[in-house]
Amino acid sequence: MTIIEFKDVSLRYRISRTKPKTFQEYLLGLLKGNVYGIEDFWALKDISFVIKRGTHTGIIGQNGAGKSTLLKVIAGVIKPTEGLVRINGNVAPLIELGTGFDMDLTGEENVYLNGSILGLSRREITKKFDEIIDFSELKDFIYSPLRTYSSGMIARLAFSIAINIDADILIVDEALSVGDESFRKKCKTRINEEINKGTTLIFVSHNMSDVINFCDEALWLHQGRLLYRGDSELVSRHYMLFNNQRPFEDVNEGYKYKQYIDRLFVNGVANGEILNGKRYFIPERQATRAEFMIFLARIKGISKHYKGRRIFEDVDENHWAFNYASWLYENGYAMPIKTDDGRLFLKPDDFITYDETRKIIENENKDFDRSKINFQADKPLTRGELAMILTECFQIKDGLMHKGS
Amino acid sequence: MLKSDALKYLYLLQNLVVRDIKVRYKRSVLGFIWVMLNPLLIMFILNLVFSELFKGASKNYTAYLITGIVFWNFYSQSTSVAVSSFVSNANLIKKIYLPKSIFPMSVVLSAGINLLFSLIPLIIILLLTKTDISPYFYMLPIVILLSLIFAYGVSLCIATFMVFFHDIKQIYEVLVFALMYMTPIFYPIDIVPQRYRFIIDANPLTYFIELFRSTIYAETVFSYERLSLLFLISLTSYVIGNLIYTKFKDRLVYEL
Repeated sequence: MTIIEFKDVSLRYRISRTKPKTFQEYLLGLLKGNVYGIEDFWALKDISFVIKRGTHTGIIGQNGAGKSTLLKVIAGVIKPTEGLVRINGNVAPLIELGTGFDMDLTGEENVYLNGSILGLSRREITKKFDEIIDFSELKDFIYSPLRTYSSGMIARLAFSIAINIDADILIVDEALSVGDESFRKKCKTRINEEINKGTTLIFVSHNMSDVINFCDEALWLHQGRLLYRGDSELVSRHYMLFNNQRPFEDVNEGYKYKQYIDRLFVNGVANGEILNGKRYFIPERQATRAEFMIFLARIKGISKHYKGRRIFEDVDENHWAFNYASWLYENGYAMPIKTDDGRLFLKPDDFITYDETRKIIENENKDFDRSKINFQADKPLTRGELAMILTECFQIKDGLMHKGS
Repeated sequence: MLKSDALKYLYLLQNLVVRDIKVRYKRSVLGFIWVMLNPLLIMFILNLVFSELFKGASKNYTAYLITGIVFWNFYSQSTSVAVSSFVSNANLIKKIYLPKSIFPMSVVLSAGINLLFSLIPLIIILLLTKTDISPYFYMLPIVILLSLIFAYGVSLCIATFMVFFHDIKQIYEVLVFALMYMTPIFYPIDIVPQRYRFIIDANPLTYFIELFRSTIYAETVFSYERLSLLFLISLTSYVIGNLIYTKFKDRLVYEL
């Protein structure tokens, strides 16, 4: 069920560098015959998307891309200049530190004030009160005026109120920089709880790993336009590369296979190995058959939710390539080794050779220009070389292969 | 849906009004007593200064003075605070959808509640000076209601304009100061020379303050024509305020 719908939404700001801020300036300007040079600035341009109830959507983009403006439109604070916006539910914005708080009121009074600003009735707030206080860990201070709180305490109270009001749509705008590390962790857990309850989440962040963690889908805004929309992992990867972030620690600028490896990464074909939070591709290591199978299955569009069945004698349910091997076999891509008694083997840990990739490639792409690649019969190839062969053969571009709807 | 929305914002309005009143007096030692003390002290001073001067002109100068001060306090307090009510709530208005008119409305309402409380010292003074209460005292709620509507209309107007021109605040401060002298608060209206009377007559607050007085103590004349006039003035203020606010409300957020 649709909860947010944007149809050709554009939003124009009128800006002018010589904007009169006071009467005097305005009158003087008129006397001088100034027609203020008003410039149009489109903060959002032709944005269309639909968000379904219960989904979790990340919004990414550089500063000034229109993320905050988009949130304001969703929250109903700004009406779009053009286009149609439909919101079917109440929105809880996780507003930054202490907006709508009064420093002279006590914590308790502020809970009621802030709750009513967010649209709750007295009874609803009373019902949630204990939960809010427990979560904020401010029980001992709740009857003291807010001006005696530290900024971290205020942020905790604000977060606790917003997260506990049971909105249909929860907007989190970089609000995770709340309090200390342990409270931040608690916030993340609580957001996860909330989204598991079926709350629709709109999450804005510059932290791609948060976006990937919380969101199924991501919208990438660039200069007011919707550049990409799709799987949060893929869109974030693309965004990282766009911002010249190096995805793999061991694939440096200038490395001969870098562009191919990056293309596989952007499209979710290659993930590398993560060690201490850093990603490694290990491009010089020889590629195994299992690795090749996984790349191939991902290129051919295996679904995240695909559950495989036992096909090969030497690839059991616990093998890391189990699902991929099964999927490839079912779709006619795998080359099993058949023994006389009809059993199938894959030999997943054998190194793959040029020759073997050639067979697959010829099968796949008849027009493939072999002169691009220096095939050397049965010589094993490295992961870097494999990346090149795959990108060239399947013509994988910088952009996303599967653009979301 | 619409009904529950109105209820929702009614509770917010209530909270905003209570907040206003609480915050104003919370950190002072005497707290809420100031609502009553303030008009008393001002009356005391003005009485010292002017009672000799206007002795002959008004029969009961003390009653005249305190009714004038109480009403004037309400009007000047409500509109002077309300003028910046959009600007000072900018960070809320920019983040959360709310009917923005709730901010000037809460300011006017809390000033109205202050007015009700300052009726207590006012009545005490009347009793002490053995002044007769007006037989039209039961009309007082209507006069106060009309005053609230009038102040709300003015507030909507000036608060909206102030978003576009911050100078409005300064201009309005001066205007209120001038208005104070154009309204018969501490001088009897009869002492104004005839050739300047049109200024007093053109000032809508004159009619409010006169009718307010006439519902509080006897010796003044209450008339239903005056009441209808107030009704018209309040309605006009409300309609104009709303027209201006409605025209600009979607643009406010860009300017805040």
